[in-house]
Amino acid sequence: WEKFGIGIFFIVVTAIITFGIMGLSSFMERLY
Amino acid sequence: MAEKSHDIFPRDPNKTYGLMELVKGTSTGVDKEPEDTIFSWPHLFYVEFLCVLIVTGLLLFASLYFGAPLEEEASRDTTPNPMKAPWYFLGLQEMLVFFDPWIAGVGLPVLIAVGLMLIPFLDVNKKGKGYYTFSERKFAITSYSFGMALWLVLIVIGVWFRGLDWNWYWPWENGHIHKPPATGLEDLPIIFARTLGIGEFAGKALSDLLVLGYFGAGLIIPALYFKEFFKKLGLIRYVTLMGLYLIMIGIPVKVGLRLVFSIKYVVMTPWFKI
Repeated sequence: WEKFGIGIFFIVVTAIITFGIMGLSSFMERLY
Repeated sequence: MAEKSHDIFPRDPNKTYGLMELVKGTSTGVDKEPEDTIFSWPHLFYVEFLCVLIVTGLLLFASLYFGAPLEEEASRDTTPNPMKAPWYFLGLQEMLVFFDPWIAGVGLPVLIAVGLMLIPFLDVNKKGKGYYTFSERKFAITSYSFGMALWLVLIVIGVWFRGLDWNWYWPWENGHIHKPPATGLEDLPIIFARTLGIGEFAGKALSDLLVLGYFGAGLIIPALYFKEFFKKLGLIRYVTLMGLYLIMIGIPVKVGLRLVFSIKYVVMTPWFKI
């Protein structure tokens, strides 16, 4: 289970950062 | 067009005018009149000065409240375990877990640096110059965000999730207890040979075919699906872009294969192993 935990952790953190940067970019566009 | 600009910028009889340069394309200054702009001083500089003050204040308080992470004086008798690089190199050090030193330490960093330099030459989307936009550059920003996230997640793992002997430690685990070394890592060709009951050579051929198929499918399928994209880029740019892209996607795939499925090498050649 720990192995799957590491795999899920990797995917979740990558997704959070990816969508975070995309969201920031989208937010800047709306602000502009 | 000429009459309009003449109205906006009346000719000053005390000055001489000459054509300096002709530039093709539009800029953010097009269709903007002098009444449409404001002076940098004081409007912009006030805000910038305020920012400088706030950041200086934050840094001052941060330096008062957080000590520098210095350790005791180094001794040649005791090497710290684990020996961690500075945080900004931990992404590279973390990659050493998943790839051989030459590939993780030389090959991939060179590919990243060259790939970043190639972006302006591979980018055919002319939109988004001089203004903030996400909706007009979805592919570019999404791709870059993913690569950036990949780099940062490796740093996060290296900083907070690696303990003794570079083993994985969750934050709630005791970091002072040694973990048994990872066992049971197998090469993909051997797994194929064992589970499918085929010879070692056939297993090797199958895993090589799998990797070739990954790159082949990754090059051909997007070209068929996004014909406009392919046409706009042209063959050379498309192959370069997709090659770099597939290598970028391949890194987390390889990380996952090792972490979750205990697979060590996927491709084994006499010169290098991945």
